[in-house]
Amino acid sequence: MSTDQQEPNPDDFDTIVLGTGLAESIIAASLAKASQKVLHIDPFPTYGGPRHSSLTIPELVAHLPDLENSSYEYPAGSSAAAGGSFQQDVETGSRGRQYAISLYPAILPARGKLIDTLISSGVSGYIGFRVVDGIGLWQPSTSTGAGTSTNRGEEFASDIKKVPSSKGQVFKDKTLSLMEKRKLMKMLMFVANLDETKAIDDALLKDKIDMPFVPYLQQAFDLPLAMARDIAFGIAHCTTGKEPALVTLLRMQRYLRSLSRYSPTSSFLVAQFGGIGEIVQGFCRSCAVYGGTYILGDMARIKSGKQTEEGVEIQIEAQEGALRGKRLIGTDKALKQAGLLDASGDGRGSRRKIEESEPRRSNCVAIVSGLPPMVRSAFSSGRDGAQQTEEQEDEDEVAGNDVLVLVAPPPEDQEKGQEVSRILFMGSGTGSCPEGEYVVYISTPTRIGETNPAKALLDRLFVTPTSTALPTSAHQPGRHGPDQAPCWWGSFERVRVVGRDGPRGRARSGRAGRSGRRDDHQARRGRGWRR
Amino acid sequence: MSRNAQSFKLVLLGESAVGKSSLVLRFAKDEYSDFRESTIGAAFLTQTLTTDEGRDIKFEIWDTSTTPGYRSLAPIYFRNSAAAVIVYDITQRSQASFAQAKTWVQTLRRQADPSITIILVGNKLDLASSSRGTDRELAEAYAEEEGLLFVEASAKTGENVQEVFMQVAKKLPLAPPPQATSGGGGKPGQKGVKLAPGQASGQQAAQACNC
Ligand SMILES: Cc1cc2nc3c(=O)[nH]c(=O)nc-3n(C[C@H](O)[C@H](O)[C@H](O)COP(=O)(O)OP(=O)(O)OC[C@H]3O[C@@H](n4cnc5c(N)ncnc54)[C@H](O)[C@@H]3O)c2cc1C
Ligand SMILES: Nc1nc2c(ncn2[C@@H]2O[C@H](COP(=O)(O)OP(=O)(O)OP(=O)(O)O)[C@@H](O)[C@H]2O)c(=O)[nH]1
Ligand SMILES: [Mg+2]
Repeated sequence: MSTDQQEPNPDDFDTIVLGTGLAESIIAASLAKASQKVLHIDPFPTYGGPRHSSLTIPELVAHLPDLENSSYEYPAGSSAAAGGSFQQDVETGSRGRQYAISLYPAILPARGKLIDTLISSGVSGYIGFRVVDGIGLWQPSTSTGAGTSTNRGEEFASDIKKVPSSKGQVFKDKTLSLMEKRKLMKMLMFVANLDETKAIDDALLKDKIDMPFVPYLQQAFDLPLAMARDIAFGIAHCTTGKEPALVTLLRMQRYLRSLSRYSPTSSFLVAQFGGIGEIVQGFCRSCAVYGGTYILGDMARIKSGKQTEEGVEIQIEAQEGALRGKRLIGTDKALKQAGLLDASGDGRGSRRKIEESEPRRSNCVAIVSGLPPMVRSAFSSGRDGAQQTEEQEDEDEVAGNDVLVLVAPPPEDQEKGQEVSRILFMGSGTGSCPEGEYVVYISTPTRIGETNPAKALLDRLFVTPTSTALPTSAHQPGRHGPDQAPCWWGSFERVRVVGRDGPRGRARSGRAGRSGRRDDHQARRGRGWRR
Repeated sequence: MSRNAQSFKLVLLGESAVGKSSLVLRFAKDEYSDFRESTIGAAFLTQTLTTDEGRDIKFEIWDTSTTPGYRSLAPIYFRNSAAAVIVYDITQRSQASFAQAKTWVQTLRRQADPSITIILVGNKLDLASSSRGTDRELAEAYAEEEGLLFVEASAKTGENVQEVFMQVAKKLPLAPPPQATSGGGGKPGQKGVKLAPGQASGQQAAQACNC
């Protein structure tokens, strides 16, 4: 292609794209494919930028200080850390590079726009995927009790309820009465056959389209509260359970229809080698194949920028002269950094100030050398009940427990619309870590006065079944299972972006006016997870 | 297309203007131009080859521009690559593109799958008699030390170009290419999902030459 490309000036571009986040990368790839000359730059050193990259441990450790309320640790006492060499191996040896840790852990429904885009753009050819092997509902609150119970393995395991992934599994479920099973199947059939265009006239939806989801399920299908909540959080993947009925039903329908596209028992996929970060690289690669030029890291730092008659002109560290684009695309934040958008100008910029009071989510990622015992026993395949012998210890991957998801619903008596906590286990089959280990991602709402609640959840997960009390503080020796204790964890906070006006950081075009597209924000709640 | 060809990803590395794209074009299309423009961004094309044993090998060739300042190679570039062709220009002094080739070897050792097949290629052999700058012996000794395949070739005359890819093909494993090994110890291929509706038909980009 390049052979007959006569470039008048190598520093002139049709479009300059600022930032290599997912949205920007998809845009860059599609513009390049449409024969535009694209310059794609990001002052962050890795593809994906500060939000969507996948990083090695050393890279993440270097990046953590830039994130809010961040910390990390190599806890002593875990078997993998024995001898104190783990930290050294990771930070100076080659070991750290064997990890691909996503700043944006997310599972992808097998049917959705992102998957469609990946396939139609050909980018899927660059990327390998894994299916999510199982989803479980976890009620950590019930196991805390007064901290006095003499917990045994089964009790712990029973706190995790595996979400059935097929009709057969629903019928086998011994915890449900026949009546409940009938109601449940009726509900699932309703969702499967729901026709969006006729929804308003549907007897089961009429006047209830915007009703909060959990009460809606109770009312429309006469389901008990517990079951309604299980459906809302385990199948529809609600964040609060109060999302409006119709959009939630339609999303659930998409998840149900995702079943069997790539796996008979799973609706979701993850990209290998670090998830979104890898997907981003795929789009950037595709952009480059169609002639896109890339500058990343310090060399891409923008020194100045201005609008001109022909478009935009920017100065970057990489070179003396200006780079010109007929058009420039980036988020508000990126445009401001480039000096192309007045911090207070244009009315929109000023609106987005991050308030202290804005809802935050606490995130924790840990490297562990095995699944927590209670998770392993809950997902041990082909067995009834929770008991499981230790001989299966290393068989998790074989048993199809490479990628697992736990959802911890908010307390039942929720008044303020509390949010779920989510936990994602990525095993070595995903290419995120060496064999036998897992990367654990935890995301949980931060409530006022709490410090590092995500790390606290991590501690709860890895408490040993035989310990008599639950740990209240971080890693006390002997409280963790000796084999699974985290050998590294890091945590940070993020403001959760929701709102009628659409998410923060909407990608903007330097030229085109606002499209006036209304964000279907409800359908996207819980971003940072499912897309 | 080809019958049951086994598909392998091959990356091209080396300093700008050593002739990476020229080698690929000679190999894939038997074309050559004295006025080849520097690759902008990246290129991707496929070429199938049959080994002496009758094995069909389909190379997915990842070429890229290494113009300094522009382009940071993403990990995805090395990911799952079964082979790397590292090219230098024999007309340059060994401190130049040959030294750069050695740096690429180190990078591959760090970032790529340990089982990757690497071939070191000294290009522009047609100019050997008039203006050789890097000794064959020097490069050969280095390749041996590092356990690399080695060949001198000319994209211009076509000499040894087929040989480069044939040597690589012979070294490739009979089993399916590694799926999930670099960067993690995943079990190759197991449960991995490819989204393309059909392996070959999904990769539209693979059919067209974009260089
Ligand atoms: C894994 C993943 C899958 C996605 N799949 C879909 C999908 O199937 N369908 C779909 O419509 N969208 C999809 N998106 C885009 C998604 O809707 C927006 O990225 C998201 O709403 C931004 O929220 P955030 O909290 O991640 O914002 P940020 O992390 O601040 O932004 C993330 C990125 O999205 C860009 N962005 C933010 N808001 C918008 C917006 N309104 N329009 C365009 N770009 C925006 C930003 O420029 C940035 O690059 C997906 C995003 C991700 C990360
Ligand atoms: N004499 C001679 N010239 C060659 C040979 N191979 C390539 N060239 C010339 O060397 C120049 C660079 O070749 P390319 O194939 O574009 O080099 P490249 O390594 O792809 O360069 P970048 O894309 O910039 O990284 C061109 O002018 C080619 O004509 C060769 O075997 N002999
Ligand atoms: Mg080239």
